[in-house]
Amino acid sequence: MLPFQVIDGGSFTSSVTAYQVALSDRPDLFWIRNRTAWGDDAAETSVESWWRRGMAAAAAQTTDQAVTTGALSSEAVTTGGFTFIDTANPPTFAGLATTAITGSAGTFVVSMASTGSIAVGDWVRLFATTGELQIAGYTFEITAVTANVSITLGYMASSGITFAADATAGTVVKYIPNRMYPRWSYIANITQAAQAVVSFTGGNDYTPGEILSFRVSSDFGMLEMDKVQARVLSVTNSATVSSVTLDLDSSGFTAFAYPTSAVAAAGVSPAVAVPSSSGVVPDNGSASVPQIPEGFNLRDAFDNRNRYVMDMGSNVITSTSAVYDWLAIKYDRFVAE
Amino acid sequence: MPPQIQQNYTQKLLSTPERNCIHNLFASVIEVQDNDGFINRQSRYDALETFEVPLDNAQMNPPAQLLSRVDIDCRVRNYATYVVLTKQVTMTNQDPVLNSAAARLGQAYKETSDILQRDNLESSASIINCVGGSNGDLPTEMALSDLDDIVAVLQNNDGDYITNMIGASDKIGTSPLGDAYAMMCTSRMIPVLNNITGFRRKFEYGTGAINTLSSEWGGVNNVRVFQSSQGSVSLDASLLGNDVANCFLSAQEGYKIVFQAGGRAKYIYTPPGYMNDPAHLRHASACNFYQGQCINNDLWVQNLRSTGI
Repeated sequence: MLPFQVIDGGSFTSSVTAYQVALSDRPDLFWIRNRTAWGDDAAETSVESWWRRGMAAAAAQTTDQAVTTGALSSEAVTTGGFTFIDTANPPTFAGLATTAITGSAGTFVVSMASTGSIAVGDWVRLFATTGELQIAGYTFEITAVTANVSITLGYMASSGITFAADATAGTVVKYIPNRMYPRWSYIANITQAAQAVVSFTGGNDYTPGEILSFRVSSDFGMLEMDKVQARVLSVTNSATVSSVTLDLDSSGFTAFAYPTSAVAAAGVSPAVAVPSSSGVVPDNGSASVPQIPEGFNLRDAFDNRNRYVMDMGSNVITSTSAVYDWLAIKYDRFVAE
Repeated sequence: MPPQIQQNYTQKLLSTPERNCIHNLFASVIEVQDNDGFINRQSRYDALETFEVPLDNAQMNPPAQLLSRVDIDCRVRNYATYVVLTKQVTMTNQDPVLNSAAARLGQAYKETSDILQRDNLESSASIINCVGGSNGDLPTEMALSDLDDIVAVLQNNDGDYITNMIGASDKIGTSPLGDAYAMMCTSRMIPVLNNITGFRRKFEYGTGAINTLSSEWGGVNNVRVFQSSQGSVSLDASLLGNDVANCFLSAQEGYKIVFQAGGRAKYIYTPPGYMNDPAHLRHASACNFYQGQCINNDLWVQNLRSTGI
């Protein structure tokens, strides 16, 4: 026998009705129990839940607890359950239809009759849009979800960019990005300023002191940025804003603007920022003064940050302030007869 | 009479499918010494400005130029896997199971190392869409003009070629090939490649296919193409939602692989009696390696994206 059948375990306090834990390997069985609610004589859905290898994504088998008696009853769910994710080889998701993307208003709300399993913080890719071909094939991080009504591409919206017309149809597919670090990013907008601000379509990987390199073709207006390398002075990664402020004066540059949908359809390469190298970390709020004592950025080192994750959805994490115990088990021997 | 013999065993094993490992072929190799941290740093001095204007008669010293340097940091990570075999298996099988385990571990190591580099290139190389094709998608399927454009980009970025010119010969059906950058792509690109105007399969090189790798498919103008079944593909990533092949083109020193001196790939055998095995029932074969990978110069590695696969 080998001493590692229980490969991981622990506990966490839930704050929202979803949670992820990192694992050291692929489990064969995953189990959680709501320690706070167990036996408290209050009704609790999914007081205990488990997943076994071979289950469909987002499925779970759960136990509900009845009020007063504490009687347990079994249940099976097909959504909001467990999804095991190997971020280097992530699961794929089916495309979902959209009927409108509000690019003309600059709000980038994507209307969808079914939002599937898309949640805030997920990444999606748009394609086959009718109109707004400027962003067909682009990827976005989601900042808001109204279930089965719409999702919001909030990082794109906060960039201040607008399009001439909305998309009236298209497909949205959720995807899980590989976690090689740092990654290139689609540019949502670039300001004309003494310290240029570059906005992205989703949360970014960059850190102060890092040198970024830009690819901006003439189709995006600000050709002066093409192949320019610039140092990051500060980074914003809030709930709706993803941007970096650069040690670069773009005030005299041509304005950044997306090509029209028709021009994009004729063939363009997207404007992107790529990680280039490491520079001196700037003093907080200063473009020219280095951090004292001078600091070199090591946080921007190229790295493999892929990992195994168990994603738990709202049908197994049903309480927002409970302590959950969990176990991940790998069979040394498993017999299915 | 004894019963008929029902089975015999041929000692020669059948082949295990092995993927072409192409993504580390053109990487510069760095080895980090032990006891020296886990982040490798290499530096590059930026070129100084040229100075074409002559000094005037006052012969004043011109202002000094600023010499600047950038650093490329790469973190090395540790990877491991193993198989456990019962002594029963290795004692009773006619073929040498431990040998096969070692071979498969070696293959898993090489393919993992290659995938790590592939994922690194996919995440950090600049992207350029093919636009010279005619399939109405974005990117289009790769065309000769796309390859010529990417060569122009790399030349304009002063990237050195990876291989020297292959000269002409008097063999029928062969042609010369220019100094070339290397392109690494998925095997799904083969029909697209064969359809590119002027694309030469490697048997059409001036030297024939002598001194080429089995993973090399051919070349055109200043690009030589290497393909693998584990080449990079982004699913549903085109304008129309088709799969996109990420075809990485690199100049010399475009990217690197970093090893740890004491962490080079190792095969480790643990005999029965270890790992909580008091009855000596099982032994283990393991593989362990340390590796980091990153772009050296973002101008010298390009991801030319193509559909049509």
